[in-house]
Parts: sequence; C-alpha cells; structure tokens
Amino acid sequence: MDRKTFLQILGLTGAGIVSGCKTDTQRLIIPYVIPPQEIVPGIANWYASSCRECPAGCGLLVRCREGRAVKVEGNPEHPINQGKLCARGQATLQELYNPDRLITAQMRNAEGNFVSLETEIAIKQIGNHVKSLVSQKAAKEIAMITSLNSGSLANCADEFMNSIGGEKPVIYEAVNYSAIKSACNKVFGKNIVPKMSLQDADMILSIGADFLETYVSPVEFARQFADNSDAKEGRKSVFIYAGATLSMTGNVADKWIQIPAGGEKLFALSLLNEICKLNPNPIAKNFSEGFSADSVAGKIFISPNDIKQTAKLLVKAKRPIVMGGLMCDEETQIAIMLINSIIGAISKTVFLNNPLSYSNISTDEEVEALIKKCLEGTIDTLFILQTNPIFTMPKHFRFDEALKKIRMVVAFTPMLNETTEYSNYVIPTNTPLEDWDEYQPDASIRNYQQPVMESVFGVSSTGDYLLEIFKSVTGKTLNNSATYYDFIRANSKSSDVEWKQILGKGFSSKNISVSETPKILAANLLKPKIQAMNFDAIYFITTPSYKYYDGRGANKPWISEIPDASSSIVWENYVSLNSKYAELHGIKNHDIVELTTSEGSIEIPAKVSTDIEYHSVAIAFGFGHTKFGRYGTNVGFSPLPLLSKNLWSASTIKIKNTGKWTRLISPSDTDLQYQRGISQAVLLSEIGKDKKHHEDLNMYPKVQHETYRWGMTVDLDKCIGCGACIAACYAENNIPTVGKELISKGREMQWLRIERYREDEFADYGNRYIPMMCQHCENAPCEPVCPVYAAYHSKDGLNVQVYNRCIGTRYCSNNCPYKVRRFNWFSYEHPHPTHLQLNPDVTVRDKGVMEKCTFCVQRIVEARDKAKDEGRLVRDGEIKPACVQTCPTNALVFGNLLDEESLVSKLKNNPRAYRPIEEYNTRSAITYLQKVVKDDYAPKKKNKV
Amino acid sequence: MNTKKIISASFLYVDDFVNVIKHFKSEKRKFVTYSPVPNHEIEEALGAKKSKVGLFTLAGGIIGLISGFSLAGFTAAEWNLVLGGKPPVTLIPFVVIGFEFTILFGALATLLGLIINAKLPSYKKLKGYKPEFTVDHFGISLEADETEVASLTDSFNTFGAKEVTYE
Amino acid sequence: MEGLTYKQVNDSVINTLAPPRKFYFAIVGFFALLFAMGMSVWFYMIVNGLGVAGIRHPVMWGVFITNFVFWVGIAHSGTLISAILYLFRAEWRMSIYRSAEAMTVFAVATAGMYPLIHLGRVWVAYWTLPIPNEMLLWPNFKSPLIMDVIAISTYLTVSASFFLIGLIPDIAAVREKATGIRKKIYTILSFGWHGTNEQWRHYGRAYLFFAALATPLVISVHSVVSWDFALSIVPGWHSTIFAPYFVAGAIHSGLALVITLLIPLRKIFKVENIITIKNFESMAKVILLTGLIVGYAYAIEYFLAWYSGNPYELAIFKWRASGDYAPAFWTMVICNSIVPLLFFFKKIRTSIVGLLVVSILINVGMWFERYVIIITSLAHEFLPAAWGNYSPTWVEIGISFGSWGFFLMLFFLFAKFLPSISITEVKEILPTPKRKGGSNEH
Repeated sequence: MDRKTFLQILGLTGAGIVSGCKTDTQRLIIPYVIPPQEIVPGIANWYASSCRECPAGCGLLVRCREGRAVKVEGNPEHPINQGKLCARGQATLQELYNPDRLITAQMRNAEGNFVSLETEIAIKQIGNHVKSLVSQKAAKEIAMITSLNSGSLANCADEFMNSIGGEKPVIYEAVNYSAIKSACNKVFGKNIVPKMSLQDADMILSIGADFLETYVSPVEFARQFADNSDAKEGRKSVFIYAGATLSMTGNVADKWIQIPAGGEKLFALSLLNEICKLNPNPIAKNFSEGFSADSVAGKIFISPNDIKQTAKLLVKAKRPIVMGGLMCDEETQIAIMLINSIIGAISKTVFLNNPLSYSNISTDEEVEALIKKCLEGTIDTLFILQTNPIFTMPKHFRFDEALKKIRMVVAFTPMLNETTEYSNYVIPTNTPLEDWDEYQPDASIRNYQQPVMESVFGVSSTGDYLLEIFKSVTGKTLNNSATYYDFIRANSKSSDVEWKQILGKGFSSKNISVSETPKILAANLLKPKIQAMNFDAIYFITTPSYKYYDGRGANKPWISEIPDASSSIVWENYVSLNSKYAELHGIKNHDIVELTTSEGSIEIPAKVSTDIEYHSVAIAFGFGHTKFGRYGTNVGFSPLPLLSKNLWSASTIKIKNTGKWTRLISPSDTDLQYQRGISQAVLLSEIGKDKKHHEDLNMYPKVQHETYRWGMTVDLDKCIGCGACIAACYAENNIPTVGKELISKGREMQWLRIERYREDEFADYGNRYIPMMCQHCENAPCEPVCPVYAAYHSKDGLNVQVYNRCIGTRYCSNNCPYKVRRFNWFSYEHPHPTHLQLNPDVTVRDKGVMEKCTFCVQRIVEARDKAKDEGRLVRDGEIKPACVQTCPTNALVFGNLLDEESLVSKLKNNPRAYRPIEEYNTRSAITYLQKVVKDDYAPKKKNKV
Repeated sequence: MNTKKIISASFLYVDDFVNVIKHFKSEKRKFVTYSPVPNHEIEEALGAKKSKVGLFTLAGGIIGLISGFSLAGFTAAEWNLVLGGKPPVTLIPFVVIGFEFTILFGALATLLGLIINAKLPSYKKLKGYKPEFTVDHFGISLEADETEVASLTDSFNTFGAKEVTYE
Repeated sequence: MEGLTYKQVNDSVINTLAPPRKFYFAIVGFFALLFAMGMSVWFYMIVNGLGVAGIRHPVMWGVFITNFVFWVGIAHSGTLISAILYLFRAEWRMSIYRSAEAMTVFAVATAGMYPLIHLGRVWVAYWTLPIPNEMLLWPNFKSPLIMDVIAISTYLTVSASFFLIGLIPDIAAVREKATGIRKKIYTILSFGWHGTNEQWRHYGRAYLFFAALATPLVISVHSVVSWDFALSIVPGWHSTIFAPYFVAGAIHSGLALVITLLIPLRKIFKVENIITIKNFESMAKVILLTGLIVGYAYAIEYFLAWYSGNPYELAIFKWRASGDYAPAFWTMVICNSIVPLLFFFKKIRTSIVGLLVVSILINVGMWFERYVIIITSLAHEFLPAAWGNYSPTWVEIGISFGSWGFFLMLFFLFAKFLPSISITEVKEILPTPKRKGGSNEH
C-alpha cells in the first residue's frame, strides 16, 4: 500500500476519532473490521515531520495513536536539533488542536461582519475575482505577503504570482535579521544571514543575542552550548553577555557587561577598535577610528577594562564567536562581522557558505514598497499567507491603513487574528502537522512534512488553495501538479525510492563545499553615525518572548502556563525595571506604570529586578493579542504603540507611576532560598570540597530492588530554565492547564516545575534554577501516611500513585518535603478537539485524586516489556521520560541506578552531586549536580541571603 | 386450699430497710429488694457475691488485642507492599490498632456482660414492684401463703414500713 | 445541695423534661436549619470539587481538619468527667457528668464528619474501613489516618454506650412519671429497669469497668489525633510532645465548653441548687492546670525548635510568631495560657460572668491553636519556592457553622428528652435517709 492510499485510510480512521468533523464517515470507521495495515490499536505510529513554530527548522517525530497526533518529539537524526525540542516546539500540538480554529471560510458582508461560507465557494469567488483582474490585464494589482517559507510553498507562491503576472510575493517576518544580511553584504559582498555554530566554541560573546531563546536557532545553540560547558570541569569555554537585560541566555553567561539599551553599537565599535590594536586590520581600524575603549566606555556607563578584557579573550580564543542580537543595527552588525573575521571566526563558527533561510526574508524597504503601493491604491487584491503583520508591524508602516485601501484582502490562516480583522476573505488552512510541505532551514538541509493525521477541522492546505485558485484563473494546473503534494514531489526531484526514504527520515541533507574565507570589501564601509547615550534618559527595548516568539505562540496554554524563566510570572508580561531606578522613583512590583515614547504610551505592570541595566526598561514582545482565540486574547500587553520604525531597536522613554496596582501571578511567593542549599552552585576550584556527608542511618533494613531502580540526575550547570521539559510533561501526561486565577490560588497542576531562586552567593543578579519533580524517594514520606495504599514503592524503585485507589486525604502532599504532588481540585475540561491530544497510555485524572510525576511509567513499562520479549535487560538510555527526551541541553539523564555502568550511576558519583534536604534521609532517586561558577568570574563569596 | 400472694413493703429509711432484710434472711425466706440508688449497707445486708461482668470485660479485651494485631499484620502481609522504606509488616504502628481494638472489644463485651447478667432487657411487669422504688422508696417483696399475709404485714409495720400491699 | 431529698431531686430533674415552650422549638429549628445549610454547602463542594474551598497547594489541610481536631478535643471533657473523675470518686462530677457525656457523644459525632468532608472522593470513604470485600481491599494500618479512623470510631462507640448505660436507671425513674407515648418510649429505653439489687449489683460492676476502659481510651484517642501530625515530617508537626500537649489542650477546651453550656442550662432549668458554683469552681481549677500545661507546651516547642538546631523547625516557629499568621498565633497564646490564669483569683472562678467569659475565650483560643499548628506548618515547609498562604472561603465557613448547628441541635434535643443531670448519682451523694440522724456514708 503506497503512502497516499494509506493516508486516505488514515484520514478516514482519523476522522473516525475526530468526532464531529466528518460525522458521515464515522459509521464507516468505528469498527476496525479490516484495520489499515499500519494502524494497530494500542500501538503508536511515528511520523517524521518538521517544526514550524519558528524558522529554525527543527526536525520532528510525531507520535500518533489510532490516527491522531498525541506527542511531538525532536527527530534524533536531524542535524539541527538532534532529538531536542524547545517548549514552543512541544506545544505545536496545541496549534493543531486549537479549539478556536476555523472550520469554514469567512467572508465579510456588506455590514462588514464575517459570514461563513463553504471554503470551495470562497475559493471559486476569489478565483473569479483574480480571473477578472487578469483578464483586465490588471494582474499587477495582485500582491502577496507571506510568512517565511523557503522551499516548496515559497516556490509555489512565486510561480503562482509569476504565472498570473502579479507582484513578487513579499516575505515578512517580525523576527528578521536584515541588519546581519546587509552587514554581511557590505563586508563580504554576500547578501545572506550566515549559519552560526557554537560547536566547540571556546569564547562566546553575545551582544544582546538571546541564542538560547529565539535567536536564529535556539535549540541547536542550546545543545551546542551545553556540549561546551559539559567539558567545563576540564576545558573552560567562556561566555560573555553584553546587553541591557539579563535574559535567560544572559543568565548562564560567565560575565554580564551591563550596557544600556542602544549602547550596543558603541560597545561593538570600541571592541572592534580594541581588537584592531591587538590584531591590526586597516579596514576595521579605519571603520572603528576614534572609538577606543577609554573614550567610549564612559558613554555607555561601563568600565574600559570590560571592553579590553573581552577583546583580549576574543583574540586569544581558538574558536571564538561574536553574535549581535536583533537590536543591533546594520553598522553594529558590520562591526561584529569585522570582529568575527579578524578573530578568525569565519568558517569556524560563522559559515558564509551556508546561508540560513532567514536570508530570504524581504528587507523593510521591500515591505514598505508594497505598503506604499497599497496606500496609493494601485493594489486591488492582497493575499496574506500565514502571517499576522497587524500584530507585529509598528504603526509607522501604516499597514492597517494600507489594508483598508485594498478592495480584496484574502488571509490564509488556521484561525482568526488581528490581521484577519482587515480582510474580506479568511481561508481556513491546515496547520503544519496536517500538511504536506517542505522547508529549507539552510542550504544544506531540506525538511519534509507529511500530514501525520487527517485535518482536524477538515480544511485544506495553503498550497492546495493556491493551486485551486490558479486552476480557476487559468484553467491549467501549476507545473501540471494537481495537488500541492504533487508539487512538492516534483520539487524534490527524487526517485520513488529516495522519496520514501526522505519521508521516512523527514529530511534530506547535502554537504556544501567549504569556500575559502572571502576578503573584506573596504569600499562599502562608511564611517558609522552614532549619537551618545544620555545619562538621564531611560531607554526602552523589546525582545521577542522566548515563549511566544513574535506572538504566534500566544494561543498555546501550555506555554502560557510555564512560569517565566526570569520572573516566574505566568499568563502575563510586564515591564522590567532596574531595582535601583525603581527605588529612586518609588515604583514597586505590581505597580502599573505608564510608559510614553514619541510614538505613544501604554500602561503595564512593573517588575523590579537587578536583572536589567539601570538606564533601560524592557518588555517581552508577543503578548497582548486583541484577537487570537480563547487562549491567546488579552494575555499581557503589547509594546507596539511605543515603537517607531524598527521593532527591536532602543528608544528613549518616560516612565510614570499611575498609582494603580495589579497582581502579577506567579506560582511561587518568594525567590530566596534562605540558605537551604536547594539549588546549589560551587566554584570551579572548590568542586568536591566541603561536602556535607550524611551517614545513612535506617531504622529498618534497606529496601531491596530487583534488577532495576530507576533514577535521574539533573545537571544544574546545564539547566537553562527554558521550560521545554514542562511543556513535554504537559503533552505526555495529560496535565490540564488551569489558568491565571487558579495558579494565583496555588492550584497549578505541573508535575515538573522549575524552581527559580535568586543568585545570592556569586553575584548580585541572575537566577538559579532547579527542576523539581517527584524524587521517587526510597524512604518516601508520602507513602506510609496514605490510609489506603494509594502510594507505594514499586519493585523497580518508583514511587507509585494509584489514581483509582486514591480517596483524596492529601496527607501525602502535606508530608512530601519536595511538594511535588498535585491534587485535582476540580474536573478539568479538555474542550473539543483538545481531548484528541490526550495520551491514551496515561489516565485522565478526575476531581479528588492526587497525582504526580511518574517518571513516565508508561514508557518504562513499554521498554521493559520489549526487553523482556527480546530476553534482555533494558539498555541504558533506552528509556527517556518526556522531560529527559526533550531537554535541549541534556541536563536531565535517566537510567537504572543498580547498573554501575549506566550514565546515570556515573553522574550520581560526580563530585558535584547532591540531594536537597538530604538530611531527612528520604534517599531520593534524583541526584542534582551543582552549578559551576568559574573562579575568575566570581566575586568573592558573599553571605547567602 | 391456700393461694400464694405477693406482699411488698416500702420503706423510707435505709436502716429500717436493712433490718428487714436481715430479719428475712435469718428466716431463710426468698425475697426481692428494690432501691432507687445502689447502697453499700443494703448490699452488705444481702451479702451478695461480686458480679461476673469483669470476666466478660477481660475476655473481650484479650480477643480485641489479638484480633487488632492480627488484622493489621495479616492484611499488611497479604498486600506485601513497601511503604516509605519500611517492610510490609512493622509492629510498632500496629500497637495503636491493637490497643484500640482491646478497648473496643472490652467495652462491647462489658455491655454484653451487663445485659446477660442483669437479664436486661426484661419488659414483663414485676409483681410487687412500685413506681416509688425508682424514686425514693426502698422496697421489698416476697411470696407468701394467704394465711401468712396478716402476720407478715404486722412484722413489716413493726420495722417501720411506710406502706404494705399485697395482691 | 444540702437539704435536698431524693424526691426533690427526682422531681426537679424530671421537671426539666416538661413540654417545652415555643421558644425552644424556635431555637432547635434554627440550629436544624444551620445544619441543613452546612450540609448543602458540603453537597455543593462534592459536586464541584474541593477547589471551591480555600485549601491549596501546599496547604492541603485547612479549616476542616482544624475543626476536626477542635471537636475531638471538645469530646474529651465528657469522658474525663464521667470516667476518670469517677475512678477518683470526685463527687463534684455527679451533677454535671451527664451533660458533659452527652456533649462528648455529640462532639465526636460532629468531629467524625470532618474527615469525610475533607476527602477528595468521599464516595469511597469506606475504603478506610477494614471491611472484608471481594476486591480484597485493605486499609494501610501504618497510616496515622487509619489509626485515627479506628480510634475515633472506638471512642464514639464506647462513649455512646457508656452514656446509655448511665441513663438506664434515670430513664426508669422518668418512665414512672411519664404518660402516654412518652411512657412507652421511656419504658423501652429503660430496658425494663426496676432497680432490684440484683440489677444494681451487675450494673455497678459494669459501670466501673466501663470507666476503667474509657480512661485509657480518652488519653489514647487524642494522642492518636496528635500523631496525625507528629508522625509526619512536616516542620512544626514532627514533635514528640504532641500527644500530652494535645490531650491537655483537649481537656482545656472540653471543660471550657462544658462551662459555657452548663451556665445557661442550669439557669433555664432552674437547677442552680443541683449544679452549684462549687462544680464550676472545681472545673475552673482543672482548667487552670491544663492552661498551665498548654502554656508550658508552647514554650517547650520553641525551646526544642532552637535546641534541635533544625533550620526548618526554627524558621517555622519564628514565622508563626512574626509572620502572616501572627495574629492567630497570639490569639492562641493569650486565650489559652494567659487568660486562664485569671482563675487563680477565687473571685473570678466563682463568678458566673467570669467563668463564662474565660471559658468562651479559651474555646476561641483552642480553635486557633489547631488552626495555627496546621496552617503555618504547611504554608512554610522546606522549599521556599513551594510556599503559599491559606485562607478559608465561604465554603469552609459555611460548613463550620453547619457543624455547630448540628452539635447544638443535638444538645438541645438531649436536654429536653433525657435527664440532663444524673438523677441516680445525685441521689447517691445525698445523705442516705435514716431514721436515726441521717449521715452520708460515702
């Protein structure tokens, strides 16, 4: 049976379970009389696909049960993420199953309200409209703006517009690296965003580049970064973060150079200047003339030595890299590019021969050109593909006005958003998991997506719609492909055999020739223009939220419910202020402040911390949707009204305390650890010294385990607090999201939480993280207090919770020193169709029972049985609980503690190993490894708070 | 032929009453005494033996102790689950169960003992019983031939009976 | 109560059972309504889930368990007076023990509801009982909660039967005065008691053994209740002094409530000559003692926390006195260990007003003691990131008032339908009537 027919059957079976979507087919489906050969009830199918939550292009494996996707995981073979995935990637299922997705097309009627109509009809109407335009030789009046698609959909769109004679599609992304692109062009004459790699980088300088969160390819970077720090105890890689806000990324840096928002350019130039002194380069010297550290440092309120030392380190390093964040403008990026070439980063950590897909994004000029046309009224019809510019474009662009001017705006999107408010037609499309598609993260890789299940709402894919429209316009088929599948198939230029292999694997990769490093072109480099920072001014900056990216992730409750890495705040964003500044101006946490720029003003609650430079305030971007489904709407505040042309660059701002007050919701009341040594850190030189030894007294004989005792180690030196593990846990274990209100009442249901404590030992800023889940204690205090044996210790060392035996006395939770047990205060609803995502291997708990982390016992059992069938023991690393599987930095390791050879046993004996509250002799199965602080970057120990 | 009569006399004062009891005991007559409150002098006069209720209590207590421990022990052994690093059967916590069962069974047994020994409940009307006996009168009733009634009544009155009735 | 005769006592007690006035029905009706309200709130909670109450992570136990412990505490005075003081032959107990015992039984019944109320899945509550069944489900006898279930149900059974046994002779006396349907009922309740000396012989013995069994029971029950906390590892709970500390506290609150209830009762029933100021004074003296014990316990807890050098313990106790729950904490200290000291003054412990005020304050204080112990310890455990404060919602408050309605309803019914003073035992302590100069030979 070839894949297509299989998919038809899969589709039917899928529809069978997707109740309500195709009621007429249910009858055919329900009894598995002759099951399609690839679907065995109770056995999962895995399909390779690609993550489209951001343009990084991680590979996916999607776990399907009875024809519905229940879990996504990173594709271990995929070169970019190697099996890892971030929280956004894990939550892509919630886009698939979003209850607010459109089922039928929407058309704006005379009154300006939407009316539903059959999508086919809508497409026909659009087709006729386009046809009439074409026939009137007015094809030029047709334009298209799309999100970043490199590969088939891009080609499809291009050829579509091309062959009907319309404008070239404009590719719009809020998070774009056009500054890098043009800098690269100016410096090397290559108009690309080069691929970067942290693999074995021994000196990393990030100038506001949050490469663990949203920057270019976060999962890849996180993995590589962790691999480097893995060797920390031996080889020392150094990471310096220069920026206004101590982001999640900055938090793991060895050193934070606090430069005010907007000071990046001066910093970069002076750094270049200093480097030229150590490693002369005429062009660079000329470019950075007059920006010596001593002259510049004062202007950005730092000490010249910070710059000089950094310069030294960069020159000294073997595999250095400097990254410039979104807020860096072209000239800054030029300086960074020059530095990279001088210190020899090119072709080691920065690869000019491998352009990233970001290179295809249209420049602001191109976007503005299109908008100008619209405003002039020369555009009649605009296709908007999978993008939401109204939410992300500062008002300078006047995109809203432009849309009003256009006669026919057609938006292709799975669900209504701010932009659809301005469109005449909204065509409901599939989400990536339901689609055939192809995407090229960079020149070396092609990701392929296959529909892992029947379209949940029975809609079709953007590509197919385009092809249909084309047909109704021209009567011909585009590249004679009847369906978008054919188009991709043709595009792939592969034999059937290869094609099957590619689909099975999920991607195809090719090596790219390493070109020798290009020369620096002097001609293009004009002297940089800079204006000095004003000491009295306050500079405002916004950065994409690591949870919502540019806002597209805001409709996913799993992510919204993950406490923010730097503030533990959920379902909300805020403006972060420096504590000294706040104190000076009488602003406290939760105060609502009014921010005013030349562009406009907003009111937003304040969060005071030492994690931001004194002269800067910052807001995470992506919050504050006004229309984005039940989960996305009115979550936090959008800084858009404050912004001028460039979304990410700094601007001066006025702050006024309104005297109003709100409560930012966070699951934890305090972030001090009161010397309890819960999240521990240690100086590199002191590893293994002054370890408290607890002698192992026991009133009863020690518990004997058969063959297995499952355990875990958590390396706090690797944990970056990204929350991917939490998202994975949500997905795997059918954990309900409860929302802001209940979390404020202490009713969050996360089995795995990341406790965040203020760094109180080695610095005045920053956080320490410690993932806290059931410790599966050997002497579990929760077990003996249960009156009905609902909690007991299994033979393989798990602390088992029997849901249907639990009567809900909640004593176990009281007696759990780690407070990791969750109680079902209500029966939580899973609105249609989100219930389709529920993992059939895990019970859905009802009100009144206690629940907690099980080490993903369903996976343990599966692997154990498999091993039994094959007459062997479970191999080390064969079992990966959801959190372990997805952790981008491999901070979590799971395995059998009875096996001396297993990785987990080895790590358990690491000199950094410790267990919180060990003196209570719970003998927990989870061992934590202390965070390591490099002596050179640690101020002498302070007294802990 | 002569018919049996039940004579019952009521007294206000314990000392009179005690004398009466002594008198009739010396006459080896069978009689029943009533009193509103338990009274040592009366008991001494009657010279009754100690009640057997205590044995019930003891038996109940022992049974309770055994069943308490064995219930806890055997169920734990049957489930055979490790809790908090403790072996399935751990005596220390079971002491409480054993103790409570001892008390419970002991108490119930005592109740049983009372019911059996004191022949409660007995709802049939007792001949010779008068309501005052549960208020403030001490009463004695005995069975006698019709012929004796007169003489007995006299002797009661000499002891200072408040009233004497027969039927 | 000198100069009373058997008959007078008999009559004045039985007169308390005279047909009540409308006002009485109003009161009982009101409490019945209160109870019904509480029940409907509970039902609401069962339907919607425990989330409607204030309990939260990490404070999984709140007002429900507070009330449970409070009521169990109340239940202790009864058995103390009826059993322990009986063994000590303390005469002042005779006239008050009946109502104290009634209070005990009703308080245990009230307390018994709370473990059910606080369950997440009350519909399977029977899984905590060792009932043989086809699923071979057995409870975990290692769990303090099961010890609790056993102890409480034992206590209810024993104190109830003790109460009934004590009633038998009295009911017999009442039977003789009653008429019509009431007579029939009392006849049945009296088990056909006639007061023959044969009956008295066994009765006395049985009563003695009951007292002997109830005495260790009453001590054990509240110890077990205290172990609900002491057997955990929660800082502020895990303490060896809990058992004696709780027992003392129980008697403290129990006696206080006896006083609070008896003062109006003797007024309404005009039995001042039977329940005299002497009785109250004796109780006040015991309260004084228990008050001192409780105060000592508070102090020693702090000492232990400091001496143990356990940072978590120390943190908890510091926080109790200074943190968010400090008001509750100081209410508890003042009401339980400072206010009772007033009983050192004879003036106060013999003045009705003084007794009433102090006893009410003690009850408030004792409730807060349990509240403080339970909530503060849970709110600030080991991991600061998992701290969280608790405050009850209308659900908890509603149910609490409901339980008071239940208790008082039962007590008022009891006062009207059963002799609230033990006729027999009061008679016993009267001088035995004798022709030659009656003198009491007890």
